[in-house]
Amino acid sequence: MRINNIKPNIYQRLANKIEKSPRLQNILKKVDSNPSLANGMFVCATAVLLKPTTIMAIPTKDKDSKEDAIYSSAKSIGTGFVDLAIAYLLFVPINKHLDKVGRKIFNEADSVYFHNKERCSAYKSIFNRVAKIALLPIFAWAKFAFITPLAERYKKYRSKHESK
Amino acid sequence: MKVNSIALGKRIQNFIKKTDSKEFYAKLDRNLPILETFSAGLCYCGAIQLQNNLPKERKPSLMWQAILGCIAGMSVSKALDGFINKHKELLCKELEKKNIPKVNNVIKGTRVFVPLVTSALVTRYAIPVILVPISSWLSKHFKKEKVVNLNKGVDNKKYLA
Repeated sequence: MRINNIKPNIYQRLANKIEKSPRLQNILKKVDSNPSLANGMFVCATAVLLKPTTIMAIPTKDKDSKEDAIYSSAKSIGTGFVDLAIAYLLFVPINKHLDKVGRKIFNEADSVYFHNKERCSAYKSIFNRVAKIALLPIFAWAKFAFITPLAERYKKYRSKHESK
Repeated sequence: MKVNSIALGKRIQNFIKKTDSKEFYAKLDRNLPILETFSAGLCYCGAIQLQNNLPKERKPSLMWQAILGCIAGMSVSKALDGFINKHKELLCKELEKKNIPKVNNVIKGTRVFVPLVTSALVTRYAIPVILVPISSWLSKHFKKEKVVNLNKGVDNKKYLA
């Protein structure tokens, strides 16, 4: 078998693409420097653009299903914005602060963290997760608070366009 | 600094000391996302019931979406994690061979980006989109059943009278 005939697998092709594109490299470096913000932005783009358009494109038989689709899309849009706001306003500052604290407690002589990187990162990860779970009820309430106003707005917009 | 004082609290330090093993954190990493999804599902159900401005007719469908989303999220996330980790590492191995400036940062970014994109596309896009018609059908089905049972109750009352 000639070497030229061996096709590169999907990982090799992806790695080649990343090697050739400085833009992709920049994106990956930015994702590495701020993972929670990148997560928030990607989730927001999916929830605000991709998901509602797909839900509304699914054909429905009756009015009830159409209404359900409108409210589901509104929920998706609300969730996207609330998630991004939470990531930007809460978790980015919390992570930055935790990094600072991690560095401080690493040098704290009378503590279990003294020169122990694993314990410091364990504390950071536990704090982050516990904060997320503890704040869940507030996030959930905020996510569902925007559904009705968004759905009503969409209905008004649609009726205006249909009357024209 | 409040977080600093929390970290240096005696109870927290004891907890960190007691749980200082790789096995414990591996277990935690495996089970915490499931706990998070479950508690998120519970909170969503509670929030739907507590929202006064939501129309009553739309609540059952949204409830079904939250319940089914929670179940699907819990069952899919574990399998998805294993699948993503395997493929992510293969891609990172290929990237290590390439001549890319600051390759370590690119690899770290890839380790975050690949699971972020795949899990968001599966658990936050594909599953919820599939669940919309299913939850709509389920809410209608149970509404019909409720009406039939109510009618049966009315008939029984007439018969008893």
